[in-house]
Amino acid sequence: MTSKPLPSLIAVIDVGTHKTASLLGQIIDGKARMLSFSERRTDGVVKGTVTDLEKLTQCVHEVVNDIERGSGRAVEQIYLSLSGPAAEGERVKGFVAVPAHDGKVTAKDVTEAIQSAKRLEPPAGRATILYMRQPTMLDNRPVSNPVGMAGKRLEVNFWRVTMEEGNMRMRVGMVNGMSIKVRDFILASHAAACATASDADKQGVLVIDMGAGTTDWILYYKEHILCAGSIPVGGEHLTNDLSVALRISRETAEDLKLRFGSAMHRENDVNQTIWKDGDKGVGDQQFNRGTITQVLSLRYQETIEFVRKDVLRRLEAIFPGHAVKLDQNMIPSGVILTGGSASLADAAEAVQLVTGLSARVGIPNFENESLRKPEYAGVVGLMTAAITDAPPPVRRPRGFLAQLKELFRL
Amino acid sequence: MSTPASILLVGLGGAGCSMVTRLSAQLPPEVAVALLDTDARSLSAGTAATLQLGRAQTRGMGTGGEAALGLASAESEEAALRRLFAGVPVVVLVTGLGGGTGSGAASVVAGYAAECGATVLSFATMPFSHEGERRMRQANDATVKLGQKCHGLVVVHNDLLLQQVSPDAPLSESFAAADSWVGGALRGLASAFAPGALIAVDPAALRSLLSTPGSPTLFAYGVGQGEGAAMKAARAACDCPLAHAPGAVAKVASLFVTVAGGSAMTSTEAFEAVAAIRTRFGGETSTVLCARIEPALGDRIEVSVLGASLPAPKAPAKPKKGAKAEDPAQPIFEFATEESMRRGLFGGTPMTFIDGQDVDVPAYIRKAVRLPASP
Amino acid sequence: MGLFEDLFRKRRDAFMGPADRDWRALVPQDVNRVPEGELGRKRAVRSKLPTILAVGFFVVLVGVLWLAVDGSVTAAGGFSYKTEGYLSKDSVQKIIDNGPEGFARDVRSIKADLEADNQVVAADVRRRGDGTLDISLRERLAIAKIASLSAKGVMQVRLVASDGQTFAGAGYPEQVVRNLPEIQHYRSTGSDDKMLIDGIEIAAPFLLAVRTTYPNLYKQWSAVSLLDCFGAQEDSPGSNLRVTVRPGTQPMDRPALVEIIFSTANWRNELALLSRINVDEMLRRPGTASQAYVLKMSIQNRTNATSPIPEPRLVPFTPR
Repeated sequence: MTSKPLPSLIAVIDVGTHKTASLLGQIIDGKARMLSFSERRTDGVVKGTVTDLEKLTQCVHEVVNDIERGSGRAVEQIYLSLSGPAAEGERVKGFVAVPAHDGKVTAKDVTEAIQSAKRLEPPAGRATILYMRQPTMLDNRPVSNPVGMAGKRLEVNFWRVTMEEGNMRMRVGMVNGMSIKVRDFILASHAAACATASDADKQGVLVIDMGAGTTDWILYYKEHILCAGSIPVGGEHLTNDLSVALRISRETAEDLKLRFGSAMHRENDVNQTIWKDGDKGVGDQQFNRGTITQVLSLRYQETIEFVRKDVLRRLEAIFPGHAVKLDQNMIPSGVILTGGSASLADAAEAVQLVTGLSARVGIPNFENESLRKPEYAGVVGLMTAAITDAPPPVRRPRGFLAQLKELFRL
Repeated sequence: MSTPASILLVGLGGAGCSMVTRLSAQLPPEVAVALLDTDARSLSAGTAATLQLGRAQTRGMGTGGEAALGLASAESEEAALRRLFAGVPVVVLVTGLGGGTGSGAASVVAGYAAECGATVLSFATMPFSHEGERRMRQANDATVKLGQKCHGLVVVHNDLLLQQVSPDAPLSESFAAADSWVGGALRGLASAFAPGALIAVDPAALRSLLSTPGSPTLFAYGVGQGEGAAMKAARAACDCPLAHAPGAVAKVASLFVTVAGGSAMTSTEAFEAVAAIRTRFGGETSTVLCARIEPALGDRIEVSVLGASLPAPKAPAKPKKGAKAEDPAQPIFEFATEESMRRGLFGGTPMTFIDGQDVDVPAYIRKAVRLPASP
Repeated sequence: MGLFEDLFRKRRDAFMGPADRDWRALVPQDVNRVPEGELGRKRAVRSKLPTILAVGFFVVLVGVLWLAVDGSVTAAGGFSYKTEGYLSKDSVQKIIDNGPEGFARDVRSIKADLEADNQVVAADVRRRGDGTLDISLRERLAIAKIASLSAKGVMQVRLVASDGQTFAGAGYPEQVVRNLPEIQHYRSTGSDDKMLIDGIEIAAPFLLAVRTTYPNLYKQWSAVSLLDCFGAQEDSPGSNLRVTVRPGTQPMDRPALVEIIFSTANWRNELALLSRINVDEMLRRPGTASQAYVLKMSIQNRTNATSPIPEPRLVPFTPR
């Protein structure tokens, strides 16, 4: 019954604070081809935390139905993005002493080391979600492939992501409620990096995905993830700050932010006045551009500062006792800024100012033109990461016997 | 006092007592003053009636920032507090939250006042962002409890005060801003009770405005001077930072507006001012206007606005199979609704503290950055 | 190199962490999706087709078998019947029809139903290939009749078989019944089929023996009275069977023999003797003054011999 494997379907969904986007693609020759895409305003999530599960479930349900209808295919398994402070990550190590008689590392040693790393208990009440590979060390030297090399002490490292058990159950349950299986979780910052950073970039890059509710970041070093984190501040805070400062509604603030906002405050701005509607209609209001840029730049730069401090804190945890510094030597590709809030004017410049690293705005790499915007880095990245990290099982056309088994399952 | 006062102004805790002491000089006669504190020293300063709380618990030395101690102190003087509030129609409670006496005792004191039949309006200040996470959390919790007990609650963020003064002004000047707000509120309230107004109002109307505990309260205050003073005052009230604090209500159903001006003020001006207020703040259900002539004001006009809405009743949850549907006529005061009223967009989510600061509060406020004036 | 890469590729390997804390272990996902709308409908129909086909196939199979079986059961009620006794074909038909499904049920239950009737000793029921029944019955032979009260309190005539069982006697011609001797003055328990007649264990073999061995005598008897037959020991002189003789069977020119009395203990010998006696000659002897006589066959003398010899004597009949 061996028949040619069918091209696999991958469905991914990125649930964000502002929008929920879902992508259905087909893997052909190792690359993703989009079959359908759907996006809706998220209801029930604030700052990356779920406040109304019912509304969120409804929203996710609709999005999945959209992509099914759009492509004419049924979705049975889906990849979820994992973002926000809910996902705590830390480094776990596993050691094994290479048996003395030979001195050479064998595959078995590697397996044993991996096992010992994975045996470490996560903190109480948390479930392990992901183990992401980090450089292997042989006698404290990073090596790419230790098998066959001589050494005494083999250390394998993983970046382990855990989530509160209740939170995890809620998310999986929400998807299962539609009778869809969660195939895997994928770290959102990792996804954003897969979409926007090339392999060359991953020698050393800090990817910052600033969405509406949260800012997720991930640091790569020599192609592996070094550490990752999240700050629960996002584009919504920018809008809120502006709405409070100018005494205007959130919608108006959002509009002004997009039109006149900037992450950098310049002296000149103070002299500019802008009209809210600009159409000389009744009830129009005048604002000082300086106020807008002042408020936004303060918030934006503060957030980047939080990210910088978080990165340093985690690096210190990984390399205790060493003085760590974020500089261009360690991170040659600098900062890649992505996510919805990366569209703020002068964002890259602000990041450069705060971190001292070179910065650019990352555009997701996708065949489909309409998704080549920073706000879609998350969902596009999920697709890319799914293909490389955890591809779905190969499908074969179902023979009668298989169909018979299917119907008994039904 | 021969006649009982219409309004009792109560200062609770160190910050509250200082503000009341500063205000007591220029208060209208309808307002009586009382100071409550655990720290004996703050009580000895003024000439007003004082009550020391928690003699046994704190021995006159204050609570040291412990809210629980403040709570116990207030409860220990229950009888005396009830005597204090007996027969008073309106109690204005001024307190600074974050410390021990203010945070701990506020809800208890407000509760006693409400039980004695008074309408309780609270002005509570939130600590500065740089005072740290613990005080901010304590203040937040206290706001919740206080909001459930008093009929009207106006939260003043200390960070906002810094916005009102120039960057190099002394700290005392920023408190002056808060003083002027509370003073204006008091004058506005008192005018309802005082005789001889240009447009009079029944004090009962004020009390019915603030009839339900836990309802979100709006307060704004503005002053205008000279030509078109009324409109200037109204605009100042519309732009009052208290009405734009994070989480403040934008529109309310019922308004109580007091316009006070010099002898030159006309009722037309008063009505214009009210119209402007209504455009901004709502008042669809009822707007009560009280206009007074105070010769001492000269060509200044002050406008103070107090507004409240009944909180929206929680939508009845979808009845489960077999369960009876909830009675939709019964409004339920949901904590979450209240939280979203106070913390605005971020109500319902846990407070996030980074480096001891509540990051949901706007960055420019926390960093005390003065914004360029609007055109 | 290849093995290491296999073990440890960039893609996350399949090893799970502490199994009880890994999310996959904590949440087993047992879901199977039927999408909404058109997709779902298409998929549902497509996947249900084999079920429908399979079910249909089985339904058709069962139906065919059923019809095959059913077709062979014509159930026209046709059966061939023979009996040694008198049970009519109609009553057999009625018995069979009375049961559930009538003729369609299996032969064993038909047989049981038939044998339930006391009249039938054994029923042999076979079903021929074309569905008709072959019924042959062996019935109880009636040796006497008895007037008894039915369970409902109605007087009815039942027949008594040689083993003491009574039965309704369906199908018996009236003439036959009239010729049967009647058992009188009996004591019984129960009614109908379950009737147990005291003393029937003596009377029945007696009558059967008479019927088989001395049919001429049998024909002349009209009744057997069990009045003196009760309770006493068999060899008690008082225990006897009184047989009433039919008057119509005797010539008119001599005194009639009304009764014959046999002893319960010794009736076989007495019967044997009676068959050798010329009763007619005894009755014509001079000195026979009475109009009716009773013939006592029982022993007069009380001897202890093993086989006492009966001494038949005639005594004038005294109606009681």
